[in-house]
Amino acid sequence: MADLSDEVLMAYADGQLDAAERANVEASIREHPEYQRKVEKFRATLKPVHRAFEEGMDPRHLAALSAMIRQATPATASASKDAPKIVAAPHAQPRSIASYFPSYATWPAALAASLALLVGGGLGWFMHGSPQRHETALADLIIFGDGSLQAEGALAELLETAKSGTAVNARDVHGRAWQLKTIFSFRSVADVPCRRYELTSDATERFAGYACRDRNARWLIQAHARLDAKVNDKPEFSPASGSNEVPLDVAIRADMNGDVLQSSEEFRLIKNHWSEGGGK
Amino acid sequence: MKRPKGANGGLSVVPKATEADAHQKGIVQSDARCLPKPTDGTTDDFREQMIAFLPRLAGFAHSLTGNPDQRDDLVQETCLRALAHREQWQPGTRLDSWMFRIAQNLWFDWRRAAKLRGETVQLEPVGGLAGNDGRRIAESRLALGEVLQGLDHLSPEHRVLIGLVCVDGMTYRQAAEVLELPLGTVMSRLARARLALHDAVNRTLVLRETHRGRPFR
Repeated sequence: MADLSDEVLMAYADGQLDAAERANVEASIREHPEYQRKVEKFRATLKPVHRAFEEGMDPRHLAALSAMIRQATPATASASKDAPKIVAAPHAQPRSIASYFPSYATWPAALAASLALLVGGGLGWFMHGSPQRHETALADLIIFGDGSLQAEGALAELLETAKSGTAVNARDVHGRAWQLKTIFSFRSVADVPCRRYELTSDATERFAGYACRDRNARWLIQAHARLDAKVNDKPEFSPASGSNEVPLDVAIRADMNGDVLQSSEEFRLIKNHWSEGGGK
Repeated sequence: MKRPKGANGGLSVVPKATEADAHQKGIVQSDARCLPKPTDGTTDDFREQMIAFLPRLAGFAHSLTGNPDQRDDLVQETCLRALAHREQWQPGTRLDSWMFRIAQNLWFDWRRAAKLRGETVQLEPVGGLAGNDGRRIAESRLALGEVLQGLDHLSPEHRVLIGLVCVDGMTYRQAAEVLELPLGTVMSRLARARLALHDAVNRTLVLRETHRGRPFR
């Protein structure tokens, strides 16, 4: 009788042979105990292995992912095409478990003044043409609601779910391409998580700002500034000197409690939906 | 929230493959667990199929990455890639095969990046243990950690095959479709992978028994 290959013995162990082949294998096994040992090995690596993975994913994470898949916008979906890394689980976590952070402290007066200047620089840009927000570039990324400026859409998703250094591409209502990027994360003096971001358009516009997360899982824009126009097509920003980037960074430093978050700490917070305690 | 239209809202089962398709070289391929074959890749049905597929994707991702955190990252990134490139998916073809392929490619990318960063991505291969059959493993419920330790000793290609066939439960033919390899190649690799996994897990169990002072038979 011909030797049986490992493939045939495996198919036999998995019940994948037809009746005629099965009979042949069984006849060989009776003559060759070593075949039986191999069959046992193949059986040991099917059901026992499958059962070992039965526990599966955290149902909360599964629910969050499902929500992300249902809500992903064209901007989000297209974000991964050119981006070095894509991450998003937008608006996914239930708002009720969104945050245990305390509400904001009031801004120090001096800081508030500098931010008014900063925000004024950018505000004219993205509020121009309002209240028809659909006429406004980046209207899907920053909105004005409930008395505050909030990150929206792909920008909100990025801030909520992406590690620092992550860039995504999105298109605004006019079809213009933007690169959105998270730069770093930190805790504010009010002990809420905040993140610096940058927005660069295919054209010549560059913006940067920072947003802090409130207890309703909204990323509220604290400062948003237009930076100097790009001098070339490189996606990186030019040195900050002489642009609004300097006062922006001064404002961030004034609001920063401690240092920039280490990547491991940031990763943990993202996984915990920016809460300190609780589940994954 | 946008609600899907016409979504089936959960796992569905497609009819089994025809008998003519299912027989080749005496091998019967049962296929009772496929995802539904969609008719339109641009409808919300696409998203619902993806959602129904998440538990399977998570199992596969876990078998590749070996830990829950990276599993979650891989699942999420796979879904985003799939959403972003949905025009590349051919309606009428299997969504699960396509997404498994995306996950596999991402994981290979991550491994390459980890190597560039100098991280250790694989342990030393272990030798087989002569004289042990699979009965000891088959009789007991394997702990996840034991399987993952065993998987760490496999090549990435073998690990992918274990993930597809042993963890997810794909048939050989479906695995061949995911990997875009001939059926015969997949079967011979899978056989080698499973024997290697068995030996690696068995070695772990032997070491554990020895450590407890109860020598393994």
